[in-house]
Amino acid sequence: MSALSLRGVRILIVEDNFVVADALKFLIEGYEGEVVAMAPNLERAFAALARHPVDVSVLDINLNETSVVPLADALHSEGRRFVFLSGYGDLDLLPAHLRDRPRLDKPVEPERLVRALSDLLAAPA
Amino acid sequence: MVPPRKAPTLSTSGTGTPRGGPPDLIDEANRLLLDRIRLGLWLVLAGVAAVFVGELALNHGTRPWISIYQAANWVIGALALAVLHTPARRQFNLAVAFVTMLVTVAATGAVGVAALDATTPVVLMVGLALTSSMLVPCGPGWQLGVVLWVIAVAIWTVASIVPSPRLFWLQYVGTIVPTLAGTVVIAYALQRQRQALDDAERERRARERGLRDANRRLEEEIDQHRRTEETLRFAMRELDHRVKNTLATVQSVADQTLRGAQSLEDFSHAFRGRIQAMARIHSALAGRRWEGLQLGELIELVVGPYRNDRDSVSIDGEGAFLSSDLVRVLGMALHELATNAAKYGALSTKAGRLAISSQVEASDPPRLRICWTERDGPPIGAPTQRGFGMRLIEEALAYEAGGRVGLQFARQGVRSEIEIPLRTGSG
Repeated sequence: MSALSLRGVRILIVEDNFVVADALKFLIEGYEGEVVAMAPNLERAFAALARHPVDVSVLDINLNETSVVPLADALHSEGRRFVFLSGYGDLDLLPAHLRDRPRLDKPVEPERLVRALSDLLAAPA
Repeated sequence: MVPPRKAPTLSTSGTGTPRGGPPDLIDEANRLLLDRIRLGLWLVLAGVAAVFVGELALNHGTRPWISIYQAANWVIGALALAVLHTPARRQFNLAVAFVTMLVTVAATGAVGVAALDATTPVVLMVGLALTSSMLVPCGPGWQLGVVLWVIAVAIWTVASIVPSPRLFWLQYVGTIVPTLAGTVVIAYALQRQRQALDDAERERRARERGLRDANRRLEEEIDQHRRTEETLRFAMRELDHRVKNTLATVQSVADQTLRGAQSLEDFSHAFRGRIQAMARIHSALAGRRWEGLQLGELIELVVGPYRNDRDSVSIDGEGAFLSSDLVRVLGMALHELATNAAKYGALSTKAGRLAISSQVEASDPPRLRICWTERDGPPIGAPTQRGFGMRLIEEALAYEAGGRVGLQFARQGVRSEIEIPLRTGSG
């Protein structure tokens, strides 16, 4: 457990449900990560990315019936790191080139999320 | 007269049994064809026999070749009649009939050559008349017309050649009357056959139409079934999505409730209250097919359980229809206000009063204002820390619905002003 740490990592949470986003924020902060912003929709997510330096983003695939794909595509083409959170069936929303990205099932297991984020940060961008 | 048209299944083109028709219809057509052929042959035999007898009576022994030709013709006709008995052998029946007719024509031609008298054209005409009446595939009226025309020519020929009236009458009665009678019978039979075929055709069309209708209905049903299945599959996916989201929410609520809990009992109480509120909201939304709820219904649903008596909570103001997403997040905020009121505020004593008023501001988009005012409760102070409950009140609505929430812990009671844009998404 002590090996896992997100110290100094700046994270953007894109999740439409406040309760889930709030819990994710606490979870990440519990591992010393810094949640620079939480966004419930694409518009606010893009705005947050423009305003804050972000090392890695956590993306809920289905944002209130809107797909997160445009944002993921933008991050992907810029070579920025992100991890998907998904419910069953959300995978259908993803185009083929995004299906091999790291993805965690909801409800998310804290340690898995932290490990996925650490792995992403350890790999070359 | 029946207009000329091709009889549907009496074609002599030799294509065999018509394909596609119902079997009973084909049997009927073949049987009628055989009847026609046999009747024609009987008439040929009668005609040939009459002329043969006349020849023997009038010119006994003087022209043996004529009698031989006629006898041969008669025998071949009789043989043909003997082998024509199976309606299903349509090709065979037609071929035998044609050959017999050709033999008749050839024999009468030979008789004419040998006799050098009117017998030849008469019998030849009779043969032609029978051939046409029996096998020409057009309407019975036309066949009758052809036969009458041939007979008229025959009478004219006989009248102009035959020297004695006696011979004329013998030939007339012996050949033309049976021919005419046979033709009338054939025409009648054809008419009946045509009628039967027409009826059968009509019935077949009606049956076909019925089948097509049934087929179409079946296809529609299958289509309906497929659509239902698709809808169901979609609904299952949607349901699974909701369940996963709900589980994620429940886990988060548990995490966050645990973070703020002073004791296990405290946790249990708060957690249970939140899950109960979520469950009530879920049930109400499910009952409305996830379209949404009226504001009044939502308030009653969430705040109602904390009412101490009839007067402790007053609800008035304008109603508004809230989308299911808004219901979920506003419901949780109202639940937090209500549990707080029940624990520390106006709903924790009998004297305390809670007033909830609402109004819809006609801006674009319209804005819903809810005023939550507690009074006459125990004196309260501001909370020492901002827990999950307070975040649910102050931040969740702003986050998910673009609303603004003011929360004041005044001495006389909690006061909260909630303002939410309606009909728009979050943002």
